[in-house]
Amino acid sequence: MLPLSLMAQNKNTQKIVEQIGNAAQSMKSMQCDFTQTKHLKMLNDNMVSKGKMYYQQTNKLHWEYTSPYTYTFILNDTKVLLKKGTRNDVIDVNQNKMFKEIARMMMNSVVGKCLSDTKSFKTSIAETSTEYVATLLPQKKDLKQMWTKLILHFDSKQLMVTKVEMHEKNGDYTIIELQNTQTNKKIDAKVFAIQ
Amino acid sequence: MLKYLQFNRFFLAIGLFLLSLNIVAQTEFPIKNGDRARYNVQIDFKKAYISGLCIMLMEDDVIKASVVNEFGVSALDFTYNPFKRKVKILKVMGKMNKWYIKKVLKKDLQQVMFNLPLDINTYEDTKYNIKYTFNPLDETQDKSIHYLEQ
Repeated sequence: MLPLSLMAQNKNTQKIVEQIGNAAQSMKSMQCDFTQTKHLKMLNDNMVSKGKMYYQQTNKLHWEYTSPYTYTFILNDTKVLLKKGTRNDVIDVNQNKMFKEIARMMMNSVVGKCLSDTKSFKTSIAETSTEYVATLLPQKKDLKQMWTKLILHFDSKQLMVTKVEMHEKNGDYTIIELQNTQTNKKIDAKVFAIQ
Repeated sequence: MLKYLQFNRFFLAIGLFLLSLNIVAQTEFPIKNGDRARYNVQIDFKKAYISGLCIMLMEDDVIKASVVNEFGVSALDFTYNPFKRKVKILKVMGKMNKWYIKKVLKKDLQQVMFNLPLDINTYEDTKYNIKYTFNPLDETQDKSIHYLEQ
């Protein structure tokens, strides 16, 4: 039998997960700028990169680094396009399990759907005056190899992701902060074009 | 004739010395403790490639280096001792963490790291058909492509 406080906490977590899930469902599209900071413990260095992100329900994601390097990842249903310099590679996610996982993880993190992915993560949520902070502990072997935990920050009013933290075994971590977020605006189809 | 040869040898030596100074001035490769460098990295295999960034720091006369992919996931950590020309592989990403892959990586990275201060940015392992490209990262430009909203 669970202690009363833990039961209440579980109930609260469930309620917040449900709220965020509903908000994600009603979000048809999203676009924002992002800043990614990778901290390298061994070198005591931060690598900062910036870019743009576009998301459209149900399976479209455009993740583009613009500074200090260019790299674009476009997911359109089952196809992924990777652009690096003049090189364009198209991958069918159904033929490549690793890319299927990456694409699913990226999309689910951005909109917060991974909170309800109980097969992949064990989730707990803390609440502050302005945000919900969800800590996700990987349950699958391949996810455990990459991360010890993911921390997702949600604006508690808009129920949208504002920051994603990815912590690795060796003490390295990556923080992605989303800025200038706009939702439910029409996005040009060519943003998700795979060609 | 002997004097002429000695004279030419002297200028050749001076020329090579100046050229080497010029190479050191142009490169971003760490040459003294505390120096840091960042490279755009691409490793091409027969049917696939790995790309990302290599971040280096020289500390205690050893260069520590981390290769991370564009998403920030660590792929490889290694050290290079420029005096002994030795690479030590510290960590390799999941599926590449096999002794035979690490053996090839170690040997190839030794050559890559030896070449970089000489501004030789590519190295091809012809035996295993692997091409390594390390280009200094240009951190000055924003290369955004802006999409028009409908």
